[in-house]
Amino acid sequence: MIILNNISKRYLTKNGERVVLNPTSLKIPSNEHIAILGRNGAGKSTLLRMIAGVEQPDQGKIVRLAHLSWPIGFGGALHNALTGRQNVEFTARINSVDIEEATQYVEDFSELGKYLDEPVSTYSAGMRSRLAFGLSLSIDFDCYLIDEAISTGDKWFREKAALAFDERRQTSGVLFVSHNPGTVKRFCDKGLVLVESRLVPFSDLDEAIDFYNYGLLK
Amino acid sequence: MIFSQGIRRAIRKGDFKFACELLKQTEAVLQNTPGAIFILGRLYFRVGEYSKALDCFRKVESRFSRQFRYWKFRAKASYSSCDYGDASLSFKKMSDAGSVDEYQQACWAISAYRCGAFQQAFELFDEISDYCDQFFYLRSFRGFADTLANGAKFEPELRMKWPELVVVQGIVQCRQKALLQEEELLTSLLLNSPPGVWGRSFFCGEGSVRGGAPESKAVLGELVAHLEGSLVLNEDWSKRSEVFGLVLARINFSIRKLGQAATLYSQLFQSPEMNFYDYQLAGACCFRAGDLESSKVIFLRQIEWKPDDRHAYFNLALIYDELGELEKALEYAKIQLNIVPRHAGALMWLAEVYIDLDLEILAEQQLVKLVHIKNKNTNRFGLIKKKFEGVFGRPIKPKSTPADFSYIDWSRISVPDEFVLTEDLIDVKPPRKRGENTLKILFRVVGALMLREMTTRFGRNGLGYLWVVIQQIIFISVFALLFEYRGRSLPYGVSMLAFLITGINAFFIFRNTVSQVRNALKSNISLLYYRQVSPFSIYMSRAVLETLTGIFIFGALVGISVVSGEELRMTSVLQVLGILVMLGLFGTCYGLLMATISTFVPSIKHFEQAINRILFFTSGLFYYANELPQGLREILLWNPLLHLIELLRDGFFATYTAEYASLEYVMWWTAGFLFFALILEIVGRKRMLEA
Repeated sequence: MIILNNISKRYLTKNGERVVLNPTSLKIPSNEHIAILGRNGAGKSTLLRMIAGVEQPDQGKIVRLAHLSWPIGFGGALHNALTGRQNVEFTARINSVDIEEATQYVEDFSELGKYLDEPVSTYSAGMRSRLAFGLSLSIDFDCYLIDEAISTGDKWFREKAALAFDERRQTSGVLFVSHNPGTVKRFCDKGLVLVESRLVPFSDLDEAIDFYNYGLLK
Repeated sequence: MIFSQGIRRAIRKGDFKFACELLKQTEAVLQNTPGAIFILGRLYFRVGEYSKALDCFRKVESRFSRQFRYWKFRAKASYSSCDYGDASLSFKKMSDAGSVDEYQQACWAISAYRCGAFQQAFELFDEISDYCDQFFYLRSFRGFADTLANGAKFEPELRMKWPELVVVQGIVQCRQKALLQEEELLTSLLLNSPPGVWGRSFFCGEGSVRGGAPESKAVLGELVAHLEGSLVLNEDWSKRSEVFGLVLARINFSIRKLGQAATLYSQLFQSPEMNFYDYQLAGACCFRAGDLESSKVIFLRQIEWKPDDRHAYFNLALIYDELGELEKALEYAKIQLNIVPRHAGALMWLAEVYIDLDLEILAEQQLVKLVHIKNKNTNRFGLIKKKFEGVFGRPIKPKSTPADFSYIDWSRISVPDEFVLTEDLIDVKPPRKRGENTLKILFRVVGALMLREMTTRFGRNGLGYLWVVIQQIIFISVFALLFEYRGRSLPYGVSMLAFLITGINAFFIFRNTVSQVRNALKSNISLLYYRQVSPFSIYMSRAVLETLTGIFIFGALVGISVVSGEELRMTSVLQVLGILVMLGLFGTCYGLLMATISTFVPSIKHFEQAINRILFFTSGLFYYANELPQGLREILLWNPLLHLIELLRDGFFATYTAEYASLEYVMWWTAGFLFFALILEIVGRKRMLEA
């Protein structure tokens, strides 16, 4: 369970203050598959980062009663100067996971071969997402926070990733951030819609999509 | 038998018609030679003159009657010329003489059916049931045969799928009730038409009537006249076939005699023979004929019978609307949209109602949905859209723009139970894992970060360390040579090398920690994605690593000097170590301050470089404070680094005492740097993370 206790967030930009989230109090179940829908720039990723604990809300408190992953996205958590393997080792170390096991998992999953010993800065976008995704799956989280990561990579990897993810989904929850209602339907069955700096929860994903697309309320 | 060259050539060329003509003239045919006649029959068959071919075959029956081949041709010819009695017989003989394949058996069965041998037909079909299942018309025939032979009754779903069966069932019921007149009429209609045409023409006709084909309307009109001739309305239905009445009603509906259809249906709607299609037609007839009450009853019965019907609810909504019960109408329209969310008719009706009720947002919601639906009735949609624009003075949102949330009444939105933050949860604290505390996590993370820093800074195998040591040796050597050349003499009996190590290398500890801490966050920003990693742990790992590295190099250089024969004796190892750590600490705090300032003033780094140069020459790297003239010394003693290096040398050389240095002074500076760095960090954290 993730408890958002009266949190709010705003950014200072050159054009003045931009409100990402008005004060919100919600309980987000961490064992369910929930989509966070919102337009580009609505602040979905910021919200996910706050939930992950990377960023702090301006006010309020987030309590995480579950083991959450970091925001899994386009290799956001990868260090460019390190090789793939060193990244895996680092992640394993700070999460106190067995390093060898994690490395083995990522080696098998990402199919990067000898590229695993090259610096991440030399990777293509697809390779980065392979590594990032494998890395996150190598650790057992209660809830995976995903920032549109699954739709990358070539066809075969996408299928493999979706399969591996489906398998993990049986036991873990998911918070899936996307601006595309089509992709979330594959993985989620509930939805949060972030519009007008408000986070609106729906227990039915279709309702959430209707709301997001047309502003329809049941 | 000898054919002329001409006939042979014609057959070879495939010109069977010509071959036929030639063969007819031959003597053999004129003399009725069986072989020639048989061949003539086959040629007739090839050119499509089936009855002539059959005549030929009949003539030679006595000659060939034991040949499989003969019966095969005869069966084909008779089946093709619609002589089903002959065909049935031929197929039988053929089957006796050899075997029939599935297609032939199907033809046989149809022939038998056409002759009225329904039982035989059904048995024949039954033998090839797998084959029959592949073709709709064979399935239909099989169903007919089954019904007619065994009086089988079909499930409503099946009747819906094979509409002809309804007719057949009507015939069977009529027969059972001995209403021969009707039976004869229907049977003759059925049997006198080519395969399946009666039923098909009725239903195709219905389709084409709706599509507006005039001739099919005429055909059906004729049909209905025939049927009505034998059917007196308002009579006792128990003596008549209800199915027959339903057929009539359907036909009446098709040719738009709605009043008559409505009458028939209103008499029959209690009948168990009604299927949901009938209900729909019945309701529609009554509705259009103006009989709202009957229509309502019929549709209510329909949804009772089939609660997920895809049309009935909207029909009910329309009826209630007509009856003036708008609330009930709205309720049914909503049920309809729950079952078929994209029901264009219901959406349009709702939109219109909402416009009339002056409910702008609700009306727009329906219209927006309609934009996304392929809608046949674009005219009506256009009218409603115009009406909307007229009433509310604005157009509906087109498809390509995202939804407009500005008019949403946020207080109306209810939070689903599973998302509600209940009172008891507000003060919940996250459970702590056993044996895990903040400090432990911090140490683990700092350790991991230091390992990660080392791999990039010094390489995996530590060769980088060697390189750093060599670099500093070269640096010192250059200065040593320079001093030697200039004839610099050192007081206090200190060797040149030791003097430079305690100056330059100590200064390097400071300088390196500054530059490393300064850029710590920038080069590790991606690692902040891990919740465990905080800016503090990143700074700390770099500070610790850099200080330790500096001390290690310092120690290594001292060791090298000793090995190479220098006489070095540290008076107070503890003091030396303490000052070295202090250098790291001072550098860290200074670096922190620079890092935080640079989030506000990025150009601070130029200023910092200048300061660095100055510090290099004013920190006592190349002289003792004791040696300096008093005026200059008082100025230079503002520099806390000079104090540290003085104290280092004080601890290092027995002969030297730092008279002017004060550790307390340096600590004030360090604390000051730290204080301002922390304040700036708190103020600028958000800005830094965004960058």
